[in-house]
Amino acid sequence: MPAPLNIEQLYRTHGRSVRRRARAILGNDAEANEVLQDVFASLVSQPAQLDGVRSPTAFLYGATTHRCLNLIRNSKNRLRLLQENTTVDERDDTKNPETRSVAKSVLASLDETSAKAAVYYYVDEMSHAEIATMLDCSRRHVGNLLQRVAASVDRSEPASC
Amino acid sequence: MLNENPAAPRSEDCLSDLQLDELQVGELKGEDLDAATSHLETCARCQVRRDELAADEEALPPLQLPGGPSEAPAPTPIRRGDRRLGVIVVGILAAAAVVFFILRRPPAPRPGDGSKAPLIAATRLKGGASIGAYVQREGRVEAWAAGDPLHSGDALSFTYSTDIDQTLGVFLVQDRTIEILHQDDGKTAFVRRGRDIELGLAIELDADDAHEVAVAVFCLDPTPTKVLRLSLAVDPSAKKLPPGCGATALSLRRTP
Repeated sequence: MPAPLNIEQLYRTHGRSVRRRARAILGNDAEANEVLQDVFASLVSQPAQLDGVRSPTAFLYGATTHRCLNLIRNSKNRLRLLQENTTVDERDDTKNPETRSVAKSVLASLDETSAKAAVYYYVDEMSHAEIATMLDCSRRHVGNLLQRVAASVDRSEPASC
Repeated sequence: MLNENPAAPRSEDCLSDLQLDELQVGELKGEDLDAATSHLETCARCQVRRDELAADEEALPPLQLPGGPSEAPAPTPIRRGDRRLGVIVVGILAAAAVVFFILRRPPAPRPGDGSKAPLIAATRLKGGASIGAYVQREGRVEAWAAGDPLHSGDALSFTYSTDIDQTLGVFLVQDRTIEILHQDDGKTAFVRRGRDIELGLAIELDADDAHEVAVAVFCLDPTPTKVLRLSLAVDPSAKKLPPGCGATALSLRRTP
């Protein structure tokens, strides 16, 4: 039987990746820290979430994505996102501002599964196989989800020559 | 496919951030570990990305569990959807509260009343801050102090006292399950200086005999209640509260 996870240690070893991804998805330090605290507060309150988890990193990726999407879906936050300039946060690990724009404006309009697929694909640059594992679905379904996301991106992009 | 150009696009064989993170914390095993390390040896793009991820040394906010989680009491899982709260939050009983407090004006809460509560070992309260409560039972309203009898069906209405303007958040703690009872837009709510001020928060005790504690956190400035909830979750003695914040508590243990 694996040793029980020490959540304090988990925070030290994984907290930065949680915060990094939250920043990349939300583009906002304060909200990223809020997500960081939420994710680990949830683990303190419900440590059983980690029972049987093979990769705490993957679990935290999922938990972080879920909370970030909840924040984005918040109507107040969505309004802010729509009005916000897509200025580059220097500490944002998402290297391409276009990627961040996708992650911020398109996510709010997608269903949850598609939004998660978009985060994993555009922000984390996961392969279809990895996304399939994260979402517990087939690679084919991932392809369909990403097509849906791409169509949404196409609709959101201004026409260009 | 080898990738000798760090600026080149990610190939199918390149490692994702997830894999790089797993590698960094030692979660990749067996064939996955072998494949990842082999690829890293030859892929400049992935080496750069690995170094980027590892370069994040920005300090995290402190998060320390007293004695380590393995020594801590087993937390009670939160099932927000069906969790049966030991108390039922009545909320801001606008009309009812008026009746409640017209019946009897509260005497001044005694600073330190909350010190009898087991969770809060030390407080750093500013401005002589304290909380008090009144209990409504069988149609009567009486002043209530920590240690006084409590029964299921009692309704408690909270008051606060402070000599300075500051902010206040109230939490209900049961084991490590923590509910936010009083806040303003996600932060501690402004409270004006005064004594025995009605908080506009009332709760009704149900038949649950679990030990619950109402924790009041006073902060000089508005502070996110989620931060405070996390602080209380990782350290029930409230020693990890942010600077400028202090806590006091009232035990809501039912009298047998």
